[in-house]
Amino acid sequence: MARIVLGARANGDKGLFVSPSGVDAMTAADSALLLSATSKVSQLILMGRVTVFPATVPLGLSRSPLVFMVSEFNFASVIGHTLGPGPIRPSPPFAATGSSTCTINENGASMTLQSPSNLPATFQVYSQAFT
Amino acid sequence: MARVVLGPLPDGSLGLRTSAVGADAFSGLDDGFSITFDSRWTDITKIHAVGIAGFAFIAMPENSQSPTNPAWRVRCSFPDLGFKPFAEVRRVDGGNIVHDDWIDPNNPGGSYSLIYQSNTYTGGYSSNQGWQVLFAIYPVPVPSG
Repeated sequence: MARIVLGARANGDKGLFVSPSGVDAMTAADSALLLSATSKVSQLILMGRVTVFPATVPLGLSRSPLVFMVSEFNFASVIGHTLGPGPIRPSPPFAATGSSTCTINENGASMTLQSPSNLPATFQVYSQAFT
Repeated sequence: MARVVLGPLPDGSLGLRTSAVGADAFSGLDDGFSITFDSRWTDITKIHAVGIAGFAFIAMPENSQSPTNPAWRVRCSFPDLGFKPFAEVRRVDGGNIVHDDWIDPNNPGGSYSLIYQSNTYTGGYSSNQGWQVLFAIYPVPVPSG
């Protein structure tokens, strides 16, 4: 029984696999492994916050990346709320007049963020592409 | 062509790199598709599936309350992980405009999604015909009954 496999597993996957004690890394299901370095992974390559719209952010990529955008809302007027503004989900909040959007330009060369309610927004860009 | 490199990498550093089918682990570009793991990455999230799906008038067989009743919804399908995973579903227009949680003016506070082991379903309306969503599935179990 192998706890570490570097190369091909029994199912043909190639990579680095590490299993917990008592589990064969050669034949175990992916969900039973401690590490599977052949799985599709993605790196968080950019995270930020914008307050003025439209905002164009250079990316320098050649494919459209996964981008997630979350609008913020200031709860200062809500009785009992003391934490001030922050991200809200589902987003946009009920007081917004429309959706915030992120337009990916030229297959990832840059992106342009818009918020019709001018609500500050945070964004996350991953190396994983969807086009 | 190597699918796994353990040792010197193109920049001279030592590390581990694995590649997708058809890509070289040593020289492949980190373009979001070719490299499946690089030990130099600092922030890593595993992604089980990524895709684009369209609204349709479809049934939801996983739901015992209405297994055969079709309705307007979008189904995002992915290989069964054996558990209900964490998922993100966002409307995408024209293939390059990604919205926040907002999908439809009928649900200005955001549309909800049901998550099953190999599908998610996000409710919609007939006016959503032709609309699409971008989805990402993370191999993280969501506590559920």
